Amino acid sequence: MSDLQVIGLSGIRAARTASHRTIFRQGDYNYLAQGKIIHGAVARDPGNTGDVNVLRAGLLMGMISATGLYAPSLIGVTTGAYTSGGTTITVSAAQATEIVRRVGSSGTATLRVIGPPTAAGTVAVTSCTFSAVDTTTGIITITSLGVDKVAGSFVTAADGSQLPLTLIPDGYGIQVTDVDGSDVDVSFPQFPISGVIVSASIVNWPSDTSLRTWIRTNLSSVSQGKFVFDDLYGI
Amino acid sequence: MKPTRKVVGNKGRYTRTTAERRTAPISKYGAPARRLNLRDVGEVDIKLIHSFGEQALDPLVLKQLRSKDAYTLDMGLDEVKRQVTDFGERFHNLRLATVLQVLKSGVLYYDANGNLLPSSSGAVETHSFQMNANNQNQCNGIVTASWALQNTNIPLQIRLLRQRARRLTGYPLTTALYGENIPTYLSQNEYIIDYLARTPTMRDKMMSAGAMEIPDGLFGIDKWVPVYESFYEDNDGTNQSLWAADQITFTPDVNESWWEIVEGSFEVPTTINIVSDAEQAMRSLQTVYGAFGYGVVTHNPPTVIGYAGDTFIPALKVADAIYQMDVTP
Repeated sequence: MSDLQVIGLSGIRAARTASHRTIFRQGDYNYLAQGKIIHGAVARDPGNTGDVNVLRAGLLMGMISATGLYAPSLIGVTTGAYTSGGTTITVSAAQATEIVRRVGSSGTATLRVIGPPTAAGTVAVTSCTFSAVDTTTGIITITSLGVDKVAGSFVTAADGSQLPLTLIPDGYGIQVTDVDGSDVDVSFPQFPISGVIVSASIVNWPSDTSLRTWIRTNLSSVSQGKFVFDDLYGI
Repeated sequence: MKPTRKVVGNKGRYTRTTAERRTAPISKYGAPARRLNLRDVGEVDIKLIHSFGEQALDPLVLKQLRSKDAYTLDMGLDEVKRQVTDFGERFHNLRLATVLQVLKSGVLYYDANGNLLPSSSGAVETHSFQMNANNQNQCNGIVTASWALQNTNIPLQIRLLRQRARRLTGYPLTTALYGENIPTYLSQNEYIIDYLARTPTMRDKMMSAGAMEIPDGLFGIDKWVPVYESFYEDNDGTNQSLWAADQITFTPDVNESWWEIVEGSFEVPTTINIVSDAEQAMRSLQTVYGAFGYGVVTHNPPTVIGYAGDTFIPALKVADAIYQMDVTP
């Protein structure tokens, strides 16, 4: 017996728009039979400004080892290069907010920083211990990583989801909260395991070539996904 | 002004879509199809304006009145009819003034007593219709020079506005609602004087339009509509103009895709008698959309109370479709 709720004074409200994104270049793709489940409590898309509870098409998804549920692989992207010994890394304010929400304000080895030491270098997955997160400036106070990282390195959780296995497919996105704003686990019925991907449509698609290779080799492997990336064809 | 949609209560929702204007990419003959994006889709919530008033009529006094024409005792029915008609007219005036105010400024202002205000001065309530600032005042660079200057290239400004309208929403601008200074600016403008001198049909139209009004069709605008006579009397008895002297609002042809008059519903009692139960009492209420009215007799002392009201909103569904231009920056 619900009623349409329009709160406030008379007038026209701002439109709420659902934006469609395509990640497949063409109609040849496959989904895993029966689908999977997205863990709503840890799933957000901080780059989807105003609708962070809607996971956009193209968002990389990985499996949480302990539960088999799925969550976004990348939480943040560093805005500047990191030199070994340094005590801070910086992401966007929205990404910092999500780190606090999903992982916490501090933690021992509960974050990963994934990236090469130099442009196009060898990508390393480095464990990260952090003690504070400024959600206004995006500055994360960390214990030295012991290695350099290029700008654009990925900041992820350490629950297994940091390794991307799939991504949210074409469409208007997947909402992970109910009408009251509460986290809910949701179906992931269209779970891509193969197809031709428009690389530029991948959320947080990096400019560094070795990070691009890292994403490709995780999504597309001998025994798992079979994806083709259109940027390798001179597009 | 014609209502085009009815909603239950005082709120509604409509879907907003945008037309496709991109081109398709080409493919090599024989290659698989390229997957293309769907268009965005949105929804917009609206909250209707509601007005509800009552007037009390004293039958003990009215009964002694005589009819205006025949001077016979008529129980004051002549006067009652006049009062009822005028009472209802207030709600009709509210609708008319609201429509013009939305077209003029895209925002409604009310004082603490709910009286419509011509500007934000003294406003306690502000009701927005989501007008884009780029579609107001000088329309983000369209009005580069005042129309009060005789050497301003007014035709070019109008052409640029029409071009922008097509690109922004696809709706062609066909109608211009204008204030009292606009004909003067046009008739004294160097570009327009030259144009009219070489276009007898348009010049003759301007002369025959009466009081130097702007002829339909001038510069590709199908209808030039003078609205400077519109006004309302405020609660203090002061006449308030509903249109600024230097303002033109350009709109497309009225179309439900960008403009609707939405009427909401109100439950009007049809009886105040005792009925058998609450269900019957509920059933005795009549759902009325838009303007409504009903009367009640009280008994101690005997009084006739008339109730009237309205629930409506001029839904400017595509605010970008109109341009509220101030021609004198």
